[in-house]
Amino acid sequence: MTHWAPTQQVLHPSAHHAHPQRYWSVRASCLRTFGARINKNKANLFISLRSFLHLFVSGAESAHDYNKSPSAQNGWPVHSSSRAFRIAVHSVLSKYIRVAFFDKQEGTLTFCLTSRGTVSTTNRTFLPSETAAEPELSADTPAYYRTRDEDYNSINSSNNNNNYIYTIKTQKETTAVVIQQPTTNKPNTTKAPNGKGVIQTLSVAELAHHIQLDGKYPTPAERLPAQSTAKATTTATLSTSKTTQSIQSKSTKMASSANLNSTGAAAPHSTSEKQPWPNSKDDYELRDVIGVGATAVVHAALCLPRGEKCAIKRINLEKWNTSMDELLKEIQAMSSCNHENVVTYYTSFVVREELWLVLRLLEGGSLLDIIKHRMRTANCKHGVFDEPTIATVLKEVLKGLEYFHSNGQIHRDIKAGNILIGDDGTIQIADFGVSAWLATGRDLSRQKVRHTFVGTPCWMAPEVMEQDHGYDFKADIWSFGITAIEMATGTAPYHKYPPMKVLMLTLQNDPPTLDTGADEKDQYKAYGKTFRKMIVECLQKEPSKRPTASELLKHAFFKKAKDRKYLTQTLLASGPSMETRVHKAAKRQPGASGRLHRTVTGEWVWSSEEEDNGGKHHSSDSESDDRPINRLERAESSDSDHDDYSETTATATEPAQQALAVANVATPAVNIPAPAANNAQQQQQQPTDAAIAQAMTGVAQMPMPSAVTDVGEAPPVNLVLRMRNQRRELHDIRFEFAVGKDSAEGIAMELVDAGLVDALDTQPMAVHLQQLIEQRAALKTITFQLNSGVQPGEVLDDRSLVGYAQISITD
Amino acid sequence: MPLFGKSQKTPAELVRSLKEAINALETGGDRKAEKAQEDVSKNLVSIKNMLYGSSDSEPPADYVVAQLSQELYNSNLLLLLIQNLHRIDFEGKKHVALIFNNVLRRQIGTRSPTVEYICTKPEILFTLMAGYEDAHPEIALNSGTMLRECARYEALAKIMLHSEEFFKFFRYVEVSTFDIASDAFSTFKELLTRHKLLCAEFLEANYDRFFTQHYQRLLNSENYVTRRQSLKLLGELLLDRHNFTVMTRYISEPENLKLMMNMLKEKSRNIQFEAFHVFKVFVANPNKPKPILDILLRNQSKLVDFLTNFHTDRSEDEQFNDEKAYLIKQIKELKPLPEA
Repeated sequence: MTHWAPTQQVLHPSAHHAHPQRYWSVRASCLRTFGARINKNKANLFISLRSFLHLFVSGAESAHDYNKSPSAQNGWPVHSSSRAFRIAVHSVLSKYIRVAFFDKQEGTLTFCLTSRGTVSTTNRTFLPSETAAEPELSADTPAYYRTRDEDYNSINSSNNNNNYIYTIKTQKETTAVVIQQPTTNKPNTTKAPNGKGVIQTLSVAELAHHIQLDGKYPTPAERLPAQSTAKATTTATLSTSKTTQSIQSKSTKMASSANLNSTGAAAPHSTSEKQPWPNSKDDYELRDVIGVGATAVVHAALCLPRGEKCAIKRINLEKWNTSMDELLKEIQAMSSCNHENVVTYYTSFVVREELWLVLRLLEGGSLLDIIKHRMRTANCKHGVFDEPTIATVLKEVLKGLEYFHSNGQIHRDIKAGNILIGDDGTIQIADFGVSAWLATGRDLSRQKVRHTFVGTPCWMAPEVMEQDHGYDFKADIWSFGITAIEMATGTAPYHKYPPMKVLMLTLQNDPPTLDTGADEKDQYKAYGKTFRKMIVECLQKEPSKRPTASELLKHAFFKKAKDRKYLTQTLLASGPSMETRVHKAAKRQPGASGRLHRTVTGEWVWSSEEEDNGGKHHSSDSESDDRPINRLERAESSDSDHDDYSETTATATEPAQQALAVANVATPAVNIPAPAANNAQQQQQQPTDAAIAQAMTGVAQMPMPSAVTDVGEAPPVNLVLRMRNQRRELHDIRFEFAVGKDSAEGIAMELVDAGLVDALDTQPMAVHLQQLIEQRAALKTITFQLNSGVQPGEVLDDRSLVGYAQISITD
Repeated sequence: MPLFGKSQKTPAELVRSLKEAINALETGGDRKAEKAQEDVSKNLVSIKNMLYGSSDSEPPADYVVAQLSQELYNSNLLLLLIQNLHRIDFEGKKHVALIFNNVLRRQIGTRSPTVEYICTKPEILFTLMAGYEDAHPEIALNSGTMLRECARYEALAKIMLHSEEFFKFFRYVEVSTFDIASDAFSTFKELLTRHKLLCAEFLEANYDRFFTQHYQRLLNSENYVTRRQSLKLLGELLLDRHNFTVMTRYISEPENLKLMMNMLKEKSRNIQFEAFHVFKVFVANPNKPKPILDILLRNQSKLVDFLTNFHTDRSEDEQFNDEKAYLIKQIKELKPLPEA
């Protein structure tokens, strides 16, 4: 009988904690080799992990295995001693749970990431004792890190059999780190490993145990701030249903106003306030996709019975491996809040394999969106927002925090990216966990790396990092202080640094101030003493010295606060305009649950914002679909120092991904009227091969112009370049051409520089782009032969674009 | 007790005042109700602070808590609060749950006086369970919080488990609002897994009704979440050695095997995986009844193929792979029973 008795025992929950230390310590000792590596080669600090490192997350025997791993063969010192490491940091970061281990005695800080439902991953370690001694590592020399950061051009991850493989590309070498999953990938399971020497893994659920998971409001930060082309005159504010009146007056002139108006027009019908939010998918009309994440997509939607707008987040539960309890906990956290400064949850229900969360729609986007937009469009060198604006926003945030804290909740992720703005100037704190992972793109604000990588702990309080004595709601006050700096300077103080460095700086240095990230002395002198004092009070290392949210509300600085209306003027009027966002979002396929991307390593992944954009442009969402290349140029001209830092890296690393986003060319292929085609040919003065090519295929695939556009006043022309990449896969590269500003040659050069186009093809690219732009009234598409030719075994074919490329105008 | 500020009401006064306010809320007209609502909120906050302490007062003295609890029992206020939960405002509902759970956890030595009290007033439990009814969705989660706190105590869990109301959970776990259904499910699960002996006894005694009549329906639910969660719970129940008898019975019924084999083939990988953990028990049973054996034999080669290709990407999950290999071996070696 015994031999078939269930091999799995039900463990008491506490049993899960039986060996967490062993589990982590082994891994940490593996990681320490990274530290050893640091000694040897400072230039490649952190990331030069030359060969495969198998990080076994199991017991002592694995440590033994590790000794045999390639790294050991490379002669890197291996510390096989298992020390007891303490979990030093844990916090919920979007879909990941951050864990750091800090061993003071050893001076090792290990930063790990666990994604929900899976258990391991780890990134880097840092030896403060060593690095602190190095003069070039001080805060004054960010250049060092800049170099270093550029060193890794891209970090990709893939999940192969639940082994997470991080491929780190540097200029010199490609390195892969394999992080092997422990056997249990169902953290909440009550099944114990059956005595095979497999160590008990610390499940995410357990990590999260002490953490109250927070539900995150998905939408706006996911969205795209409008391009700089959005004129100040088109400051459409589309109100939420509660303030419908303002709609009529404003949003009339816009091209996309039909869309908006229909949304808004429905709102006045919402007389039946009492009706509860329905739980049937048929009662909602899904509209534009306003956010896309790894396992979910967020739509703006209209609740038909109520005639009220809302945001619907569709979470794919099949991809949600963790138990549903965790999801529930987060939704409960959200639904237990009822405060005007905390995002509003309406209802949730199951639609096939999806969970739909119905939330209040805040159309202004996130504060981060607005900051980014502002930094792109205006000179923010001496500060992004003025004090009254900052005070007004932060006061609302504080009220939300006060409520949170009085509820016994800690938010743990206060930052601009999690502060949402309604069109009436309402400020709400979003992001408690649930939508957290949706908003991943935002969370990785300062990182150009993929979503599988860790987010910056820029906002994290020191005690959260260390966790000697646990932490409480004062941790939010620290984050609040960082957010205050962020609102003034546009970024968190240590945003330039990799996460590990941020942890070290936060722990070792004096608390940051407004000037910490400044490039010049007195750069932020416009900000007054009261503001600075308020920041200093929040950013005290000793949590008990920080004021509570309630105390802070009485701070003199908040006397400068004005009302919502003020925010509609200062934030929304200059913010990314709704119509642009809607317009852009509309280009996406509604109903698609996310977008697929092909990564550099060739597999298809669900995209998040971060993947699409990278660098400082991460929050601009699908903008990159439209104009990744031009945008870089624009940013270059207007932005300050750290921006061209990220820009450099963005240029170097991301374009392939961002631009090669598999975009749908939705325009139907329709034959162009013959006269137009003739016309096009007649005007053609450039190489005839292109003309022939165009006559043959371009015409056939001519997209129908949706409307006759006025060519006189030049709005940017949206273009798609369709061609095969080096792996001979067809890709669409979307970009924009500002007539009068851009030159075809310049664009072609950019494409080449970005590695998207072969240098040989610069000339035909420029020539044909120029031709298309000149004749855009008649000509919508052009196909031309490439100088780079075909690969062995391929036959030149313009139809399948072998040896040919095609440029089309998309709007 | 603070020495300055407003003079504090005594526990008895608070309880009386709250009771009056609740009654007013229940009966009063609009104008009155508004005032009553205010009073209810105020009193709830005071009681909560008395139990938990507040930022500007010391943690409560034992005798105050004792006195307060006694007043609560005597006045029957807990029941009254729960019955009127839907009338109390948003924050007030949360406070009721906080107060209830705090008083419930109260101990004198090894005794839990509130548990004893509720045993004499099971109506409290049934009212809480009815909180999942559609009538007032806004109280479901608050009720759930209190129910799960109750379920921690065996005496209270027993009352709930053995009540007719328990079977209503099969309906509650399927309501359309996800958070309510999930909350009901976690209470349901708590009741079925918390007190092992109690649960085993219950499942044995009510096998037919529980599994055949009701649980089957959850497993076949239209709702993906219900299906996934109930399948997972089934696995946990069967693999709990306390439920050995129940398991033996379950795995001797061919209908159950068929269901699991079908679920192995479901589109959802998560459901497949959970089904595997139930299915394996059927195969591992050394004393397979003939009907079970017949089904397995009939599908012998198909099952071997199927399992060989089943979730092959879980290569890191040693336990799963061991089990899978074991199952494949077992199925390969299956032989018909010698004719009797």
